[in-house]
Amino acid sequence: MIDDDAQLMLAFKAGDRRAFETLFERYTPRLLNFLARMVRDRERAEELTQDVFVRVYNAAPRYEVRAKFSTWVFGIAHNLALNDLDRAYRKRERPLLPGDQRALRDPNPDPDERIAARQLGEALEAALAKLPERQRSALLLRSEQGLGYQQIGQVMGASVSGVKSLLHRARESLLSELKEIPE
Amino acid sequence: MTARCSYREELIPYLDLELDPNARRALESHLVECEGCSEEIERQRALSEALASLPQVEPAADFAARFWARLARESDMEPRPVARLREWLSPLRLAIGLGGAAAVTAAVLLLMRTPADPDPDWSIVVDAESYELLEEGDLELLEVLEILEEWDSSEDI
Repeated sequence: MIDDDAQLMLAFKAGDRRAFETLFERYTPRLLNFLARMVRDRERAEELTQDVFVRVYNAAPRYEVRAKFSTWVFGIAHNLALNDLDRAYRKRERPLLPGDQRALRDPNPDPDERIAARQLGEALEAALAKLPERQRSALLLRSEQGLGYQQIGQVMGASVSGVKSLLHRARESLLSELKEIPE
Repeated sequence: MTARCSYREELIPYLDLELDPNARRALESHLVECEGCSEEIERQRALSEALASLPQVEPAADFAARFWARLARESDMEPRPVARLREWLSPLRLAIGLGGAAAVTAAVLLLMRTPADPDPDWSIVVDAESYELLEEGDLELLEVLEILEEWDSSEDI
């Protein structure tokens, strides 16, 4: 059975530009959130999100439904994120200090935001940033994007048991970090 | 829960709805009697809730506009208004073409049969009154036509 998004991609392949626009609108928030937390840089995440869509656009003539559309598109995003992190590390252009929340912070924070919730959120963001990249990717794909283990395995080139292991270790690391946060 | 509790590895898949029905039932039975696993699953559940409550990263206001401009630069894609206009016109192209040809023919015949009038001032054909009669959709179409005209002239360059 072909999922709705894959149907849209097939429609785009057949010449329906609006189908691509729908996919763009539907996936921009998801990809941006995933990529922002992967590369820890809002502007770079926007560029990478655009890179994903350019690739999707250019791949349309060759597109075939082999998996869920979300699996395919997050596979592209996952690879772009890892390549970007490698490049940034090699060039030392973006140290991506764990715990530095400025890159993702809302420029207009809600003044009524509860302090405790904000502390927890910041601590969680910092703990996420400290995770090894593959653990972070697996956790974000599961907890933020709602992908199943099999899908995550397809995105990351891992077995289902490998995904379980990544998630387990990621969660243990986060819980260990969050122990330091006052209740 | 003890270090040897065989259900330890199933807690996260349980929260992630990844267990098959038999494994789920077995774990739920176990949770009733294992205080350690019950505590651990609550810890993991709280983490899931915290992860779910992370703030969303919003794209910049001009994100979409920058993307479409980039796509137009990096591919053979037409700007969206032009593409939309072409789509909109395509079923009507034949009718418009035929109608246009008929109108031109009629105008030529009319000019040949009547004394030459002063050149009409086409700038006032769409005067204020008729402009007000335009529907909102027509205004959008006029804007798109202007964009198309600019696009075509830029191609000529």
